[in-house]
Amino acid sequence: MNEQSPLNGDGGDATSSRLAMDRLLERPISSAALDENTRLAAQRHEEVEADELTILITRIGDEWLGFDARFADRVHEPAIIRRVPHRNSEHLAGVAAVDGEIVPAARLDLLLDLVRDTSPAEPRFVVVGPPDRRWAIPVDEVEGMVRVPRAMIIDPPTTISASLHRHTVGLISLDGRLAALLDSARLLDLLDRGLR
Amino acid sequence: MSDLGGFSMFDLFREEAETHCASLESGLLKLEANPTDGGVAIEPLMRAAHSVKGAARIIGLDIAVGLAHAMEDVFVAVQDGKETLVSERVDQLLAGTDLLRSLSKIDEAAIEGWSIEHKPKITETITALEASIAVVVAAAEVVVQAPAPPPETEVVETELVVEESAEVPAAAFAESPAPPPASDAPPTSEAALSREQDEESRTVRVDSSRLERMMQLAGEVMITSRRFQGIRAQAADFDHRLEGMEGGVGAALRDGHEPLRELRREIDEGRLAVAGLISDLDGLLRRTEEISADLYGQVLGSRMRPFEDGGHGFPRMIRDLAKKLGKKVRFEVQGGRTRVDREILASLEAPLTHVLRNAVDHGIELPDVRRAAGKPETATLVLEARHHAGMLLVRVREDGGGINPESLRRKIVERGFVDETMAARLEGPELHDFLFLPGFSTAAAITEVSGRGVGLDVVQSMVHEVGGAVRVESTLGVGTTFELQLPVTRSVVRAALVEVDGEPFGLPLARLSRVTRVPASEITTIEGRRQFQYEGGMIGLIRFATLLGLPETEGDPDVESVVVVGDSTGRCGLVVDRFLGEQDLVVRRLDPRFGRVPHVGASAMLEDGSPLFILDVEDVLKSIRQLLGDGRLRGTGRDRVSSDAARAKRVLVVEDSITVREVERQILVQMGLEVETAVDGVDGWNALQAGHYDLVVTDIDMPRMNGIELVTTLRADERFKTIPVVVVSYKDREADRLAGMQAGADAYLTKGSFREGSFVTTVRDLLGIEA
Repeated sequence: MNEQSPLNGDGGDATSSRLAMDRLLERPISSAALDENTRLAAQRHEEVEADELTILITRIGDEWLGFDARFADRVHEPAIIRRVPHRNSEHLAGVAAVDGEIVPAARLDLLLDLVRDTSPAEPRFVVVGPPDRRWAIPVDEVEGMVRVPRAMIIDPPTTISASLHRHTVGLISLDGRLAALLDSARLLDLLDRGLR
Repeated sequence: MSDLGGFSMFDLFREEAETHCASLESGLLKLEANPTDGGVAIEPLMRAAHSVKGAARIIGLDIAVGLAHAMEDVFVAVQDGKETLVSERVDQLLAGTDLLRSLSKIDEAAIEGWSIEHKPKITETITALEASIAVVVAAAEVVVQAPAPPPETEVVETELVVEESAEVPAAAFAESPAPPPASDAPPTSEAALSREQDEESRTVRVDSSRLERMMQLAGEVMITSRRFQGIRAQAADFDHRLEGMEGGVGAALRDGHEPLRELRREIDEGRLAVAGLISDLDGLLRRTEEISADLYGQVLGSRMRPFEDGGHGFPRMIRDLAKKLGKKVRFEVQGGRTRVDREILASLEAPLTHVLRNAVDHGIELPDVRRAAGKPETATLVLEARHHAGMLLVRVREDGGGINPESLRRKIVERGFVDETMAARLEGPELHDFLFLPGFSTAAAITEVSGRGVGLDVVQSMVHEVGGAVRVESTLGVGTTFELQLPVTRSVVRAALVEVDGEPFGLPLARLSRVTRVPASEITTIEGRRQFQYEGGMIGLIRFATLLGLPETEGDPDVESVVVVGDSTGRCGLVVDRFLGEQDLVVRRLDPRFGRVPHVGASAMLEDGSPLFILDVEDVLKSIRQLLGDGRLRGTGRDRVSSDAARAKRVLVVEDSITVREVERQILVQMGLEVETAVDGVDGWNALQAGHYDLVVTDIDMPRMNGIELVTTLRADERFKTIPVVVVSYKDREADRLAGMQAGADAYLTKGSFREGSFVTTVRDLLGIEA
């Protein structure tokens, strides 16, 4: 601010306005505002560095599975699945209508040798894949999105089932539970191949 | 605006040039046919040439500016009466139009190459255009005293009269051209017509994927709006319950329970509110249904185009072709405004081009031949489109020489399709069907026009692909008519819904004879096959579940629900679990990742938003014929394979031509082999899935899945990697042979091999059997 400004012609006024400005600028910051700013700064940082992955955490049976959020872009209410004549791939449950599109629906539990719960808690369809290669994957539960630094993704140990092992790029620790981060590209290739 | 972001200036020029070239061409041909229209009809041509010139100037294409300018000058000269558009002049102008159009077809990067390549031709055209004006102007100055020649003479010079209006009687084009119609009446109607057309053709290009999404959304809106019905039912139910409560409270009141008075008042208010809710919902329901139906209709309508949009090139093609062959042809388009699904329209262009060329080349006679036959020298070729019984009928009709049944029969015998006694019995459609066999041509001489090897079989397979049929009617000396029957749209289909093993399926109604419930008492079992009496014939029954590879379920033991499919040549009944009714289904193509699924044509969504499959009745029929023809279900053949070591070798013949198929079958049966047949690649693939075969004999050109695709598919499958495959095709070029062998065929034979005996030898060698 310029003191020679015609608006501040009088010296006394200039001093008091500067005091007012100091008060404004140096007022204590509320903790809520501080948190918000920290969050925004962190977010910006992440976008630049891209060292975090956003992962959609779901559950099938007693296994927690993570989908890269760039690959799994929607979660849908479960819909009716119709069987496809002359197509017997066990990974193919049939087709389902999701948001006005008819897409194949997968049996990930069979593909990954998972033991399915008898009564799924909150069944959902996870819609995965690019527009021309969409799949609906029925899961027993969707927990939500988590952000995980890439460095925190650990190599899968041999303790998980052999089939799951093959389709997992890493494990994520979630409050003591381990979720398998699925290999999206591999999964999609495998599923698509079962359609013919 | 963002949609324009991706366009360069050149893209815009291309679009503009394309549009103007189309109007230049059609305008020129119209003018050539009706030179007296000059004043009125020349305006749009001048505008078109002028616009192209302007557009070319903007992007700095001087070469195109010069050309368009020269063309414009000619039009100006014509308008001023200094020039008349005779045939040569039209040729020059059309040449110019072609050059501009070819410019509209190239990429921006190719401009320079194009300019260099076409420079001489452009210069030549410009010179010709400029010279023509100079000559005419000079001539006009010389004969300034003499009266202008009557315009009729121009008609005499014109070899081809192109007339798009059907109203003009054919007599007007008798041998000596009648004087042109009074100049004021037709131009007025013509002008009115073209104004209307202009309005209709003001179109916006829509990305097909966007359109698809719009359709999905519109469908979604429709489905969502139906949910109101449920809400309304709930509210009504609530109202009903309140009513009951009110009655109860009323009774209590009579017994003097005072506090209930207050409760009653509340219930009254509640009911009032609910009634308001219901009436609101009713209004909303109606409105949403209206809007969504409208939206849906609009979006669907955007797929429909007038038939004439599909054949811009036809008049020109026919004119040039007739001129080259020295024939006189009057081409007429009738029913040009008939609305056709753009997908169908696009798929029609190639087969129609073929049939039209065929008509001019083979159907229509030379003028002197026509005169000798007492016919007008100018032949009439009509392309007609109309809706009939839910189908789109497209006819190509000419008054040419017709097909000579005797020479056709001779040809059939020559080709070895059938023997003479059988050929003599062939009549009408049955006889004409041979025209659609691959490689079959009745042309006495192979001309440049029709070429070799491109037969009507291509037309047939293209028409089959969109779910249509094609047939020929011909009378010797009178003319020939090709009729293409096509679905009006591939977007909506009226279907019967049936349930099989708990799954709903749609069967297009147009393909069904009827649905009926047959009491068990009317079903007889002969040799393990079930059948019932229907319209005087026996109809074999097949469990639909078996056909579809679904588990068989127990239906009603007393009455079977039967869908009768097929035509007079062969009908059969599909046993389903139950009928679910009829519904219009919005056809969605099957996800291409599925490849070809046997018996499935497309997918669709029911009103509750659940998916279902629409079955391909043709394909179902083929499978059934095979099942019934074999007298057993495929797959049961396997049992015999293991039990009988000395069993006959089994051969699968995959061939779409019934004649070739029959020839091959007979040869193989005579060799002591067991033979099954399939009518195309998909059918063959289905057969291979179910049965055991020692050898496959396949054709190359087949609808749905061709031979190359079939062989490739076989070789990619572990089970069929080693099965011997013989390709038998009309295609005898080295490249075709190579393609067949590369796909994995063990032998590649041409269809002549039947007579040479190489077919027999090859089959023996591959099966390892003694002669």
